[in-house]
Amino acid sequence: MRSGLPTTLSRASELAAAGLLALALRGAPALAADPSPAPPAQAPSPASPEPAPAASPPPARREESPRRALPDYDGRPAPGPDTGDVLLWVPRVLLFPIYFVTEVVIREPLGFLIAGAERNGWPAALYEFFTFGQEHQAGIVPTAYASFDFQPSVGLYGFWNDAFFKGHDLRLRAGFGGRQWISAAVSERFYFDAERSHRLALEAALLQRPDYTYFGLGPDTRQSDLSRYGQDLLEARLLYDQRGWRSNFLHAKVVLRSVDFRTGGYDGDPTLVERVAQGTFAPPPGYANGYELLATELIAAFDTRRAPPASGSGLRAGAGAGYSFDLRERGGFVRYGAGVGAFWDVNQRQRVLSLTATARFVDPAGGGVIPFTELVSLGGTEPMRGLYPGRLYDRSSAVLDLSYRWPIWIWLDGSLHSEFGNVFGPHLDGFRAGRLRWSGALGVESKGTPDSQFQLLIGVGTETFESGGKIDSLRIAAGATSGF
Amino acid sequence: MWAVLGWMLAACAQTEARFPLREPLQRDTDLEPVYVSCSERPTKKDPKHEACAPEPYVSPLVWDGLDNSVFRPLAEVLKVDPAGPAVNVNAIDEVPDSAWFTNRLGKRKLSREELLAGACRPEDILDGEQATPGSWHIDQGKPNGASAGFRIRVNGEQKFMMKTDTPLQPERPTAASAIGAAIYHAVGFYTSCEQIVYFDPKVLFLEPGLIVTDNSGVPRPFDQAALKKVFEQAGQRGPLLRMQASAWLPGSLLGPFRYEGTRGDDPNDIIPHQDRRELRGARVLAAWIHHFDAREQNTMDSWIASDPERPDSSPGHVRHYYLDTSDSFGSEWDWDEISRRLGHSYLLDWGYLAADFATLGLIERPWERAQRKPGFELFGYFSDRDFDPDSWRNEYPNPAFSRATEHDNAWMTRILSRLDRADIDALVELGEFTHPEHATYLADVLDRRLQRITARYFARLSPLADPRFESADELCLTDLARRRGQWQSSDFRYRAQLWRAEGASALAPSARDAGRLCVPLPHARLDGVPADDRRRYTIVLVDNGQAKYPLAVHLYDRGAGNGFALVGLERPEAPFAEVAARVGAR
Repeated sequence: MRSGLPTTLSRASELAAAGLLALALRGAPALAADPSPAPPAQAPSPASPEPAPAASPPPARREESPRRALPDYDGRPAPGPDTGDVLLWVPRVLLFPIYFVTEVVIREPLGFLIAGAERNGWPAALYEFFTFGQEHQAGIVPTAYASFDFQPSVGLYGFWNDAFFKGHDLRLRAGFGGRQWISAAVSERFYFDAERSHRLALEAALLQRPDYTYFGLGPDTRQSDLSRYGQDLLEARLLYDQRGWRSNFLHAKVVLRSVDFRTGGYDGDPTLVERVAQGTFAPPPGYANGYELLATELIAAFDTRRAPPASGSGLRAGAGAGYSFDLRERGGFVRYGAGVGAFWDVNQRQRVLSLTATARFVDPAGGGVIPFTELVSLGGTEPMRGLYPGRLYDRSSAVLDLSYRWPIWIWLDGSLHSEFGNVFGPHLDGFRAGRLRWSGALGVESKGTPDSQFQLLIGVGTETFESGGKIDSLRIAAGATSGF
Repeated sequence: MWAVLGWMLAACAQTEARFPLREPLQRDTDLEPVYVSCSERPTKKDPKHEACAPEPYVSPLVWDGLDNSVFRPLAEVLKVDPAGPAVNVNAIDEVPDSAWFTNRLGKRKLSREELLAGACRPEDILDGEQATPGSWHIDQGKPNGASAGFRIRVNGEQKFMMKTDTPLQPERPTAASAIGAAIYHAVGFYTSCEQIVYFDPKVLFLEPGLIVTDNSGVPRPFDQAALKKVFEQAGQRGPLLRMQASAWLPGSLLGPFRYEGTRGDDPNDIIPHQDRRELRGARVLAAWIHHFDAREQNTMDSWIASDPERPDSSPGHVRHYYLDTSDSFGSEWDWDEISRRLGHSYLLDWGYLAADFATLGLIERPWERAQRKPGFELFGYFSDRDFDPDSWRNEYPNPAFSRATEHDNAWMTRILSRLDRADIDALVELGEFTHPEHATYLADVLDRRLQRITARYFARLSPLADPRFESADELCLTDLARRRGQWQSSDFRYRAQLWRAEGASALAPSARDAGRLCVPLPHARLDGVPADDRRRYTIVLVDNGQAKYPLAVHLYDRGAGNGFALVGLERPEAPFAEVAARVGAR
C-alpha cells in the first residue's frame, strides 16, 4: 500500500543505509501507514479515480511482482564518493540529532495527523465552521499574544462584513490570560459610502488584567521600581471617522469609561500597594477610588501620503483635543496634543524613512484629580515602544521618532524605531535635553487591517541621559494586538 | 580518524570509467507490465469489487503546502543532502522513454499537426457547433476549483470535464489549459487532451437529480439554476459559449503522483521522484510558461492494465500524467501582493523574508516593478521583464524542482529550444483568442522568455546535441544555440580535439547551415584488436566558443570502412583545457 507519508520510507532507508540509528528508526514505517485508504473524495475531474465496470469478472490473481531492478542507465559503474561527499558526513553527523527530532518527533507525526485529518475532510469543515456566510464574509480567528514579563493571552477574533445589510460590519474580540485576565470587545460599524470613507461605530469593551505595571510619576522614574496592579475597565464608545483626500482624516469620539483598580500582581513582582508602603512612590492619583468619566475627543490630520502601492512619501500634521469629565469626582480635565511628521519613501516602493515629533498634554479643568491612567503615558503601544507599557506617566510628553518601515513579505513590514522623549510636568515643565530617554525597537508588523495586527517586536529603553543613559529595559512582544 | 582519511584519499583517487560498447538505453523498463496485490475495493455498482491495481492516493492539500513550505526544506538543510545527478539519464545525457516521459520534440521536429493535436486523438475532438442538440449529457457538476464547470458524457462513452474561464481574466485560463497541455505533450510528458470548445448550450442535456458535494462536504443540487451560473461565467462568441474540455484519462486513476519518494505499491517505481530528470527539468518548462501551480495536485497517476476491459486488473503499469496548466500565462490570485510575486518568490519564501528583513529592504525586488500591460490585462503580470529562469519559483517548493541541477535544466532547455517561432505561433493558436493581438502578445512573450532560458542554460553546458554520423567517418552535431540564433553566427568559434589511447590530435570542425557542425574523424590502425578494447576508445571534445564548457563524445573506432560506434556523451562542467587534461590522464 502506498505510504500516507510516502517520504518516510525513503528517508528511513537513507538513514539506515547511513548506519545511523537505524534501530531507532524502525518505528517510522509504522507511522507512515496511510490512515485513510478510502478512494479520493475530491471533486470529480480527470483527476478522480473511476471505478471499474461493475460487470467485470474478478481479475486473475497472481503473486505481486518484485520491485524491478534499477536499469544500468549509462553502462558505467557508479562513481565512488569524492572528497566533497566524504566531507558532507561531518555536518550530517553533527546535525543528525536535530534532524532526527524534527523529522521523527515533529514532521512525521504532524504530517500523519494533518494529512489524515484532510482525508477525513476536517480542514474544510473547520474552514466552513470558522468562516461562514455566502462569500465567507464572516469568520472567527484564534489569536494569541505574549509580551515578555506580562501574562500571555489567547483569544478569538470574529468578523462579519456586511452583516444583515451592506455597509454594516460587526467585530468581536474575546481574550483570556488566566486568573483575573479577561477581555471582551464588540464593535458595530456603519459605512455611509461605497468607498467606506465615512464610518460610525458603536463599541463596548471590557478588560480586566492583574499585571499592569507602574513605576511612579514623572520623567525620572526607574525600571527597578516596577510594581504591579490590577485594573477593571468597562467602556462604551461612539466613534465617527472620515477619510478625506489622500490620507487626511477626522476622528471624533465620545467615551463612557469606568475604571477600578485592585491589587493584582504578576510573577512575584512587588505590587503597587507594597511599593507605596515601602515609600518607593506616593499612591498614584485615582488609584484608591477608581473613576468613571465621560470623555470626548476630536482629532484631525492633514496627511499628504497616498495609499500603497503608491509612494509613501508625504507630510503629516495633526492635532487633537478632548474634554473628560469625572462622574465620580465631578472634576474634569482637557487632553490635547499635536504632531508633525515627514515621510520619505526612499525608492518609491514603500521603504519609508520618517521623522515625527509629537507633544501631548493633559491639564485639569474644573477641579478634581486626573487619574494616573488618564495622564500622558509613554511605552508599550504608545510612543517609546522599547519601554514597558505604563513605564512613564505625567502631565505632558515630547517625543521625536526617527523610524524606518520596509516591506518584507506579502503581509508583513519590518519596522525600526529610534525615539527620544520623556514625560514632563505641566506644559513640558522641566524639559531639557538631558532628561530625555532613548528607546529603540526592531520588529515585524502586519500590514492591512488595524483591527487585528500581528506584531513581533524587540525593544530597549534607557534611563534619562542625565542618569547615564544606560539601557534599563527590554521589551519583547509577539502576537496579535487588538485595534479596538 | 585514519579510516576517514583513508576513505577520503580513496574517494579522491576515483577515476571516470569508460562507456561500454553498447547502444544507449532508449526505453526504460518501467513500461513493462507488473502484477500488484489484489484487494477488495467496493464500488457503487459492485460492493464486492476486487482491484489488482495500486491503491488510489488522496493528496493532502494543506499538508502538501505546509510540508513543502516549512518542514521539508528544513529537513533538507538538516539532512545535508545536496542534489546529485539525476538517476534516469542514459549514456548520451538523455532520458529514456518511460512511464513518465516519451521523447518527442527532443528527438525530432514535430509537424504543425502533431503540435496542435497534443495528446488528443481524432475521436477526442469535440465539435460544439455541429453537435446534435441534447447529445452532450451532463452527468456530474464540478463543485470545487477556481472555475465553474461540469462533466459531460458524449456518445454514452467519452467523458470530458468542461470548465469556464474566470471573469477577471477572460480566455486566459482555457487558453492556458489547451496550450500548456500541448506544450507538455510535445516536450514528452503524458497529459490529458485539452481543447477549447465553442458550443450552443442546446447541445447539453442536464441529467435530473444531480448532486455535487464540495470540499466542505455540503451537498448541493446541480440543476438548471446551477448550470445557468456556470454559463454566466463562460465566455461567449455570438450565441456560442466558450469552455475548455478535458478528456478523461485512460486507465484506472490512482490520484496524483508525488514529487518526492516512490510509490510503495508500484513495483516499477524505484527511482525517488525528486531524482528523476524529467521531473527536475520540468522546472524550466514551468518557468517558461509560468506554470506556478506545478504541485502534486496537478498531476495524476493512472494504472494502465494490459487488459483494457478490466481497468484495475493486473498486469499493468502506472503511467504518470501532468494535468491542469490553467494557471499559466499570468493567472492572478485575489490578492495583488501575491499575484505580483508569483514566479519570483514562493508564497512563503523564508530566504527572501529573512534577506529583506536583514537588509532593511535595500534590495529592490522584481515583484515591486511588476506591471500589467494595458490592453493585455488578461495576462496579469506575465511578461519577460525581470524573468530570470534560474530564480523562477513556483507557489511553494517542489521537491524535484528544488533538486534540479545545471544538467537537468540544460536538458529541458535543449528540448524547448527546438521550438521555433512558427511552432510557438501554432501552439498559441490553440488558445483561440478572440482578439488576434492577444495571441501575438502571448507568442511574443513566450518567445522572449524562451530566449532568456536558452541564453542562460546554453551559456555554461554545451548546447551541442544530436550526435550522429552523416557519413561513416564524419561526426555531426547540432549546435542548438546557433540554430536558434542565440548569438551572432560569427561569435561561434568551434574547435575539436580527438583523444585515443596513443594521444590527442586536433580536428577541423566545419559549421554548416541550421546549426549543423561536422567533424571528420580519422581512424586508428587497429587490425585484430577486440571490438571493445580500450585502444578503440575514442573521445572527441568539441566546443562552440560560446558555452563555457565543451562536449565530450565517446566512441569506439570500428576501423576504416566500419565507422564509429557512439556509446556516450558527456557535458562536463569544466573548461576545454581541463577536460582535455583529464581525458589525457585516463
